[in-house]
Amino acid sequence: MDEREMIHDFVATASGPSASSRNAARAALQTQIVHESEKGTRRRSFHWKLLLPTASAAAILAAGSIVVAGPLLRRGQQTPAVAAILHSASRVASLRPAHYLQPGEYAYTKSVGAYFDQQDRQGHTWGALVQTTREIWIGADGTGRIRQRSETPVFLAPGDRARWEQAGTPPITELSTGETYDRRFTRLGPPLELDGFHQGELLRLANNPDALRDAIRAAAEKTQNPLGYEMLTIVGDLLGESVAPPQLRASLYQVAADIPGIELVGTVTDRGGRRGTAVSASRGDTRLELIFDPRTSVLLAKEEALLHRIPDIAAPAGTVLAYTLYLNSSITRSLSAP
Amino acid sequence: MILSRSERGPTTRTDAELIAASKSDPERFGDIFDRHFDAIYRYVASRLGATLVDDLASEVFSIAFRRRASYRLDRDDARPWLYGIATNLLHRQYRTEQRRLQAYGRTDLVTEEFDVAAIVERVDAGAQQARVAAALATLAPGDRDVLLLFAGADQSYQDIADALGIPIGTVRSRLNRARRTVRSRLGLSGEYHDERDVSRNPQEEVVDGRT
Repeated sequence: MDEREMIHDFVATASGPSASSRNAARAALQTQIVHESEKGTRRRSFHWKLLLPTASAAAILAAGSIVVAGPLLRRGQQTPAVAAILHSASRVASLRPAHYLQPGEYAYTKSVGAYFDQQDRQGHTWGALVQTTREIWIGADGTGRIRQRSETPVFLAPGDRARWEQAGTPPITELSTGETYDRRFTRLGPPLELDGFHQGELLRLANNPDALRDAIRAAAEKTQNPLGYEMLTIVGDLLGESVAPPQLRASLYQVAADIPGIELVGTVTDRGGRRGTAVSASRGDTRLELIFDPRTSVLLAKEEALLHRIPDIAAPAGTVLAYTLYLNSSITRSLSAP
Repeated sequence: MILSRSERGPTTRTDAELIAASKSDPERFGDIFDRHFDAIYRYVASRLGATLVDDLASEVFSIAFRRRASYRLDRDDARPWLYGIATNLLHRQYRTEQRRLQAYGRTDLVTEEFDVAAIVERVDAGAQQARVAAALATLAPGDRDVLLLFAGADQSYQDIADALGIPIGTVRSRLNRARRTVRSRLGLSGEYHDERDVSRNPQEEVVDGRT
């Protein structure tokens, strides 16, 4: 054997990439490809005429009881790219700075959102989005606080206001009285859990995406919703509000990559005016989207929209029935606003 | 797996065709990754410690994607181009590492862009691998680049010249010097015979530049 053969063997026997190394590199490249593909294409996003395109909570809440206009239906695609993009987000998440909550510390998250509700009066039915402001403080030991306030409803579609008027403009307080839900969780009572997951359990599963996936799947199978939709819901809840050190966030994105039927929507703008990548899963008549920033892995928003017209809701395809905008998060030692 | 032109069926596109297509359809560049990532990874892994290989190998394709508009489409095989990017990244990594080490008053931990200790530890191979690594470590960086691309990555003289942006005569002279040095270090007997470079396409004639 001469030196050429020896050197050839030397390089040939060097470690080849593991599957995870290859996937991570492919995902990083795919993120570049997706962003370049999106450049110059006309981005379609939901534009609510009177929701101001800023990230400030005050501006978003200023919409008041005003009719929403102009929904657009975004289409998702089930392609190999969705797994690659989520693996890329996992890798980005794993590289984020870590802060492990100390005793007496809480992870604080503030979000604004809305959910769909209906009223019936004298044969007339109308729908509205009940807007909410939510704050959550979560300690690693299950202590914490949830404070959620319901705001003024917003009519879902132009016809809803008309039907409300036809019914005699009854008080809209059945949908929302502006009440505040405020509950504290102490060591003496039941712990604060998200989708049934205690923070301690999540931290134990952080380094084991397979076990985390099995646990999320088991939780999802207890509901009546399609598996993929429910798993994506849980992943979104945990990414948005849980005590999530980098490895847990990375594992959650890996779980998302394996969700059956998950689709890539692409680059979108959330109703806070922030650009992100959206992935989706469907539930019969509606589709849930998670929107995250691929550069930081931070979850920006969730939205659920109609896939098509349905008899019970007089609104076109693309109408958003629920959304959450994650505004800010921080570490605090106080159970009041940080 | 790289197919020679005679082995490729009519529907298999060359790297150049894929890169050309990727200018308007970026997704096509993914095929370049799928074809060449493993080979580039092994090349980088043969020179660096394990903690750096993933990032560097990934960065090669990230850079290649950004630069694909300037790729020479008369080059069917993109490997020389990719190896060139990898080699430059390796040298840049070394310079960054050196500046960091010098800031701490240490300059002895990394030998150029070739981390002998990490390679031998990771390779977990027999004595021969360790001897080869030690022999390669004694080479000047430019000589080592040429030898690893020639003997380790099976690149032709022309491919190496293209990858490193140097004249083909310089490739020959560096390769001759490197092979003599390594043969000496490895204790290989017999004269070193300069051999004609046989390119992958036998119809091509390699012109020997001035050494």
